[in-house]
Amino acid sequence: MSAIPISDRPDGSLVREARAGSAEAFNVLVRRWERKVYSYLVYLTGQSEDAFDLCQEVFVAAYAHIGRLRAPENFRPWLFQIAHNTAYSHLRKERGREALQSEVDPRGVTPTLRLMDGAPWERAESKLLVEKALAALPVDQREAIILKIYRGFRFTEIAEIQDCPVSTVKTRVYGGFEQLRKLMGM
Amino acid sequence: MNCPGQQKLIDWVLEELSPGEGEELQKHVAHCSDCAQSLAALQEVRQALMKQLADREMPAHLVFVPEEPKAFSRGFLTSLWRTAALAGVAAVVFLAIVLGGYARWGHPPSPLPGVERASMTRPEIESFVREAVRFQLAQQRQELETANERLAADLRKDQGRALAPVAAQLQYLQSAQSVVWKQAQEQSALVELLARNSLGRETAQPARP
Repeated sequence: MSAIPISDRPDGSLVREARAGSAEAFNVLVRRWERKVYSYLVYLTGQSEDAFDLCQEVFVAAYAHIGRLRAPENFRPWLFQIAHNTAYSHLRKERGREALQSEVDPRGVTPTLRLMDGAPWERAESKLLVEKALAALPVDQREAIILKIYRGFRFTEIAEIQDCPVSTVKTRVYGGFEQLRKLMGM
Repeated sequence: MNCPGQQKLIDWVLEELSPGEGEELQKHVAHCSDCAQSLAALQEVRQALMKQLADREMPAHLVFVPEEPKAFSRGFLTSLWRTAALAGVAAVVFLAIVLGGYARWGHPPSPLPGVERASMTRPEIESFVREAVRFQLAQQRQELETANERLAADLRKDQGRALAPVAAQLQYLQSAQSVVWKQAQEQSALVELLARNSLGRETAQPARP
C-alpha cells in the first residue's frame, strides 16, 4: 500500500489500482476529472444538460475500457479522447453532420471587443462576445482551441484526441485563432 | 531574423516553441513594432479566451459503484468480473447524487444507458443507491467538518483580533481604578488622621471654670 494519500496519487497509480479492482481509486479519478470533462463537453456541445449526461457516459466508457489504456500515465489525453468520441457521436446523432460546421454566422458577431477591464456590465458584454465568437467557429476548430487554451494540451496530444495529423491540428488552431482575433476586433 | 509570421507568433503565445526558438523570436519582437503589435493582439485574444474558458459548476457529482460479485462463487466471479471489466462489459453504475443541481434544471438528470444494460434487480439497485448516498454523505460530512474547523479557527482568530483593544482598554481601566482606589484610601486615611488629631486636641484642652 502506497504511503501517499489516495487523493494525492498520480493518475497512473490510480489507473493501475482501478484496473486491480479498486472502485475507490476510480472514484478519485472521477472526482479529479469530472468537472474538466463536463466543462469541455459544455463548451463543445453548448448544452449543460446534454453535457452532464455525456459526462456520465464518458466515465462509464473509461471504466469499461481502462484495460486498453497502454500507458496509465496518459490517462488525461485518453479520457479526453473518449470525451471527444462521445461528444461527436452525440452531435452527429442530435443535429446531423451540419452540426460539425459553424453554428453561428460569423458576420453576426460585432467586432467591438475592447471592454475587458471596464465596468461589470461591460465585462459581461465582453464575455458574451467571446462566447459568441467561439460559437461561430466550426466544432473541430473550436475543440482544438478549447483543448489548447482550456486544458493546455500539446498539438501532438490534440492530434491524438481528434484522431488527425498534427498539421491538421495546427491548421485548425491557427485558423481558429485568426478568426477569433478578427471577431473580437483585436 | 526576418519577421517570423503569424503562425510562429501564435505558436509562441500558445507555448509551443522550444526555449531556443522563443528566445530568438523575443529578440526579433523587441526590435520590430509590427510583430510586437501582432503579438500583443494575439496575447489579448488568449487572455480573453482564458477568462471565458474556466471550469463550469457541475449540477451534480458522479459516483461510481461497481457491481458486487455473487456470494456462491465469489473468487471465480471476482476474476471473471475483472476480466469482464477489462473487456469492457463490466456492469458499471454511475449515480448522480444531486447536491442542489436539481433546482437548476427542475428535474433529475436522465438515467444512464449503462444502468439499463446492467439488468440489476430492484434490491440490488436500492443497495447501490444506498451505498452511493452513504459514500457521498460521508464525503460531504468530511468536507463540512473541515470547513467548520477552518471557520472556527478563523472566528477564534477574528475574535482575538477584535477583543485585543477591548482587553487593553479594560486593563487600563482596571489600573486607573486601582490608582483611584489607592488615592481614595489615602485620602480617607488622611481625613481619619486629621479628625483624630482634631478630636485629641479638643479633649486635651482643660475645662474652663
